[in-house]
Amino acid sequence: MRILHTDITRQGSTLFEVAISLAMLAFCVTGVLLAFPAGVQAQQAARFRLLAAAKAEEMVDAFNTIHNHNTVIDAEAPQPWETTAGRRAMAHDLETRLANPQTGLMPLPEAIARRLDSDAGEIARLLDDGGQIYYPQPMATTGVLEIGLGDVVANETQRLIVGVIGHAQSNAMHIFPWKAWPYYVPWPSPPLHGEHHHDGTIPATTQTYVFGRHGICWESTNDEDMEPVFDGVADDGEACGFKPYAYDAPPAQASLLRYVATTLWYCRAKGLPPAFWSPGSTAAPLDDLSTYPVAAHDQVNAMRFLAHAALCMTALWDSSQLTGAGVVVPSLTIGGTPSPPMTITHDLIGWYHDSSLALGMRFAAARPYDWGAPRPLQRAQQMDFPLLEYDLFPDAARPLLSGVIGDTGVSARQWRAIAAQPVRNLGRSFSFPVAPIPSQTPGDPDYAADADSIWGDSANFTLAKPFAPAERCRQLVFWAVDWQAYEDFELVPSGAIDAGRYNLFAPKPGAPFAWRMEGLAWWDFGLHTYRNPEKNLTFVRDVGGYATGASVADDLIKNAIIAPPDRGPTLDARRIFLGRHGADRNFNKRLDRGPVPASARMRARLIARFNIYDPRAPNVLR
Amino acid sequence: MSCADRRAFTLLEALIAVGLSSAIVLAASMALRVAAQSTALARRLSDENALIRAGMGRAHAELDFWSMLDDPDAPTAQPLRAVTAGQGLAFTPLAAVAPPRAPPVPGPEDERGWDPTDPWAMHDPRGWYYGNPAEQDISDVRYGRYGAFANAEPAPVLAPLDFGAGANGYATPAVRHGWLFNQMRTLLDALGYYGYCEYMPANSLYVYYTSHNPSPDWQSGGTALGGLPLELVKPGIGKFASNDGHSGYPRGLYLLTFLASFAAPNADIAAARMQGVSRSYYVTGYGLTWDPNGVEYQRLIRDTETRRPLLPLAPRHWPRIDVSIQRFVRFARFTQIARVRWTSPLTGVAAELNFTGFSTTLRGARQQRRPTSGWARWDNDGTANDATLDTH
Repeated sequence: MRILHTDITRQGSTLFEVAISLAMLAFCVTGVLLAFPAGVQAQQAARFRLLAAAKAEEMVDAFNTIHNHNTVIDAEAPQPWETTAGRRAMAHDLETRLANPQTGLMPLPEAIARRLDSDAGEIARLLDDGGQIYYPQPMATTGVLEIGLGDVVANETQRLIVGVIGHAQSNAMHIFPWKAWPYYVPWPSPPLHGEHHHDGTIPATTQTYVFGRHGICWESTNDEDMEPVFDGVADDGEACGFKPYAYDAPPAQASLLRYVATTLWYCRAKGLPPAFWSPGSTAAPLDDLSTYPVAAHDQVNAMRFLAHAALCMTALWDSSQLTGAGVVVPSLTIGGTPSPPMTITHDLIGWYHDSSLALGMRFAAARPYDWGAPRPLQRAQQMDFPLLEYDLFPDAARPLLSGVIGDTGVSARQWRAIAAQPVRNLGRSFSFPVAPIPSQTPGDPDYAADADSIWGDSANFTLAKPFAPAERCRQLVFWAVDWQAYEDFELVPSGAIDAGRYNLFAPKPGAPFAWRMEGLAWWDFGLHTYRNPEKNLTFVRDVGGYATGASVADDLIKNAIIAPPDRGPTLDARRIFLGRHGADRNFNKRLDRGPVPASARMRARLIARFNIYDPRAPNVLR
Repeated sequence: MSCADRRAFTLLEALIAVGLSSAIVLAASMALRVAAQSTALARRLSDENALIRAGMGRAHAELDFWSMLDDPDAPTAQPLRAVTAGQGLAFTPLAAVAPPRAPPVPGPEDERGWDPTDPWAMHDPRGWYYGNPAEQDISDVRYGRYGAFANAEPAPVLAPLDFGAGANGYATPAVRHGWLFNQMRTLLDALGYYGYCEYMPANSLYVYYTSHNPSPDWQSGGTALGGLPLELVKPGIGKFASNDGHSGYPRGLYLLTFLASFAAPNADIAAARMQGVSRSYYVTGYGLTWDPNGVEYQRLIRDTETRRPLLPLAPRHWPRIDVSIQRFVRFARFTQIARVRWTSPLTGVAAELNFTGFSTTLRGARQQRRPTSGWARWDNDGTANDATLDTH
């Protein structure tokens, strides 16, 4: 019995043993099952690394090759906070330059970004530091106007998000907001003149003209001797200068001779000797600014005017006259000073022309901090720009500049400016010749001592100092996360927008702030780093009541030029500007809602990191 | 008793055994299926990734070497070397179209032909623009005859002018400046608009002066009164200057390309169309607002995107991968768009990876090539360097 019992117990496993075995088997199978998706995930991560590499290359390419083409902004104002040119919108930082529809980097709405977890809380830390996370727009970054693009080809790139780690540096000023130097003019040319929006920006004593609106000869606000060169009356009571010849009547020899005589008078008024306009030989141009003991900018301007006037003569005299004995330019007296009589020949005109370019080119190349003469349009290039930066270290002698924004009563502050060298012949701006810009040079009409100046401590100038590579290094960090699975990914408002991205009209006397909010054209081709980066995708009305999948093609701003709905002081316009209604973030022209509730958190998987060079001075590669 | 002890499984035991076995088989089957699916998916992703990676490599090679447009190793794949009526294309050897080389005698302004070693230094006066940047295609030239001092012709014919006191003519003795405008004309004729824009320095104005031709037709060589070729300066005729509201003066690259683009041609378009594509602009800016169906953009793609299969021969179950490159100028930016597009062999769904990338310039690509065929050898000591497409 005992033996039999023993036999029976050895016949097989008990049910308990079988259950244990099955549990172990299930554990192994589950483990194997889990291993397979891990393989898939590894391949997906590899895919995202490919996408991230391509995107990083594109970002760096775009950052380095796209020009500043914010051409429809007001770049000058009497105070730096009254124009956007001196603020973040123009900063030469990668994310500022690329966060716009043309370069395809969109700030991820903060409401979504705050739901994302990442290794070591890197995303949260970036947000806490004031940064943003970005997602790429779905279409290629071509610069082609979006409305012209066909249907967007599906791509997985939108599941990538990217942040820029490392603080942006204090860059060179892209535009000096008091005066957007350098000014360029065709070379040779008469004194620079043009239209103004408002007489209140023009000094009361300045002669105004009707070129279309409120016109003045701007250059004569800095040098009154230029006034007759542009439009004057000689001591004989007759008109002289450029305008009477070119604008006031059909071109005639008599008025042209008086224009030429006025430019010769200007040469004499500046103290230049006869050899300046009457050289012994016309073989080699005058190209040395040290030949005569006269201020360099006066020589440059004098030859520029003289060459322009003399070239006009080829339109009204036969070559037989100009290549022969020449044409006599009678003397003209202005303010008691006679112009030198002169005989103009074809060769002399050519010499004036060559000399004007030679002096202008040399002046522009050698004197970026002398603003006494504009630059030749024919040579616009990087090295014309003076190195200017903000002084980040105000002290008691040079405190922060402060004031009030327009008529709003809102206080504003800005750092002072510092230049690599003191700016000479600073003059006044084209837009606000009524407003003096404090000069650094004692003796200048607009000189001001430190406390009343706009200039900081030049000892704090750092743009030309040596630097370690690490100081210019930032990092692109890519994560992958299916943020478009959120139920509200197209309905949450846009990410925060810097106020500097609002294209604001410069202050005009009597113009309320509300008017300034819609005083400028908002053309896509002239606004690169302005407006909501999601502008083309943003909804112009609340679409929250639409059914999922409903068309939103008629609810987008896209490329509206005439009366853009995001411009202006109305509540509706401000909501649209800020993207409060959300955006068609996958640009499929339909309202989408994902399956994941807004209350859920997602984990963003780290994909790749790329170190990038962060320049301090604006530059463009070709 | 002992027989009873040795009996078979009870029905309950059998049922349990069958149940457990079924569970095991089911679990194994599911595991196998998931494993198979996961393996297939991972393999498909892996294959796709490998192909996309290869596509990106091909795209980068293309960005570096421009081989889709001009294959130095395949004379039959060099469609952009043709010359038609004295005008070349992006890869035409300069020696085939440029005027004969003439030394800088008696002065530097007299040098002609193309010198690939000339750096066009900013301080070199012969490279300065001696035209009038404010002169328009409709100007009456009251500001003077700039063409009498700088011209592509050595003794240009200038228009008679009449400001009310009778026409006056102007027979210029000899122009003082001819080098820059001759270089401009040479590049324009040799390379087409894209190459012309790329070869000129960044701060250029792109219109030269030549003899006055009263024809109002650019195709007949018509010029403005001052001698500016209508082809280059008259806005909105579909050639060089886009219509921006009639700013018909010599423009720089930004103004030329903020509303439109010049592009390198698609190597696969008909030979007869190469010149037209190389010498016209494509609207890529605000003009597209009036083209909501994207017809113009499709024209740009069709005429300028060159596409090649990554693997002309591949297993049918592999994704089909195409690589394309498109090069154009927009907002003064030389834009190179690489597209790697793959199509699922199962679903037919297409997806795309597109990016703009750094590229060898056209000038660099031309200097990679011999004038006839093959890649040019280059060494920085210069002694054994081959001639290139720029050698003249």
